[in-house]
Amino acid sequence: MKIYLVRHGIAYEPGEPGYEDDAQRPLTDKGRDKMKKVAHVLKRLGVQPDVMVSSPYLRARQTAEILAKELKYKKDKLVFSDRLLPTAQPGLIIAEMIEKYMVEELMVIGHEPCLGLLIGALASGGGDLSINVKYGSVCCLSADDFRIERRATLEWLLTPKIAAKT
Amino acid sequence: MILYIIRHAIAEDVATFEGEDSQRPLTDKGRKKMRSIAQGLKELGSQLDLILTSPYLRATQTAEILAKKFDLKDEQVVCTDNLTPTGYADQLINEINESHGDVEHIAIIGHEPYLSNLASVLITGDPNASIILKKGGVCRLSIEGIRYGRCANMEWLLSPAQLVEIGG
Repeated sequence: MKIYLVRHGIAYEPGEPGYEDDAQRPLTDKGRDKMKKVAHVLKRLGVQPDVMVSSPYLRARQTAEILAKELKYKKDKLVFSDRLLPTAQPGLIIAEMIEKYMVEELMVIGHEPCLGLLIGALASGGGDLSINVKYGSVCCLSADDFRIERRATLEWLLTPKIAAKT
Repeated sequence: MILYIIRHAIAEDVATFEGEDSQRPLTDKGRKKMRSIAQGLKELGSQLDLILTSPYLRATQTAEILAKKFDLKDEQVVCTDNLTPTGYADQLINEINESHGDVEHIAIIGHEPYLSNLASVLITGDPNASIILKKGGVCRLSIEGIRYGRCANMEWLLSPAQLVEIGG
């Protein structure tokens, strides 16, 4: 199976007037535009998620909606999980994945540092892995299944800057 | 330092080629794809000051294509036995520090599983992370002070197909 891990697009900064609640910070216009380009490149790469699971925070949800629209995934099928919140440890979301999302193509939308830790847990058996997951970046892993002891393989890591050139 | 880890392009089949393994050349398809990949790297704004390559023919031919695209001089392409399939990555790192420590943009061209193990060491500290590097695939690392251990940040990892798409 393939797992696509996506970091949310550029959002309004924490503490900007009107956006004091971290869970309610929306994407900026620039963030939306860049995310649409990334979504378009994913479509061209043939990405077709069977399940999309996102952090419930607004910036992640909006990112998931942009991706869902481009990738023809029904918006009402989006799944939200608190186990993808920014400071979540990867163990619980991996358990949730094993229990519920054993599909051909899974897309996960979330935050740093949670996503980087999740990539490390899946691709290096829990080892800490220095990987630069910028806003709007997509990391593709492949695995027979995603139990920690059955390591996933890092297939590619794509940034919005690269998507804009594609 | 920016380090591009690049696997040689598609070469003649090991099962049917009759000469030495070190003398297997790139196929026509391999050359063509590698030219697009090199163009893709240019499109992404990459710079190259130095190419370190395995002395095996499929690697040096890959290096030549890249060197031509980036207008490198002959002395900016260096063959090293530390990049052969059985070479030692820690010795390669020593070589970089001793002879090329002040170079900003370096590409290394070699073989699997050597290269993905090296990438793993540089981003995690051990060779066990699972990273796929297809023929002509490229991984870009940013590094402050290269050493044989965790010292790098992976900026991106692209398959040959993705780079061809960018290069056109």
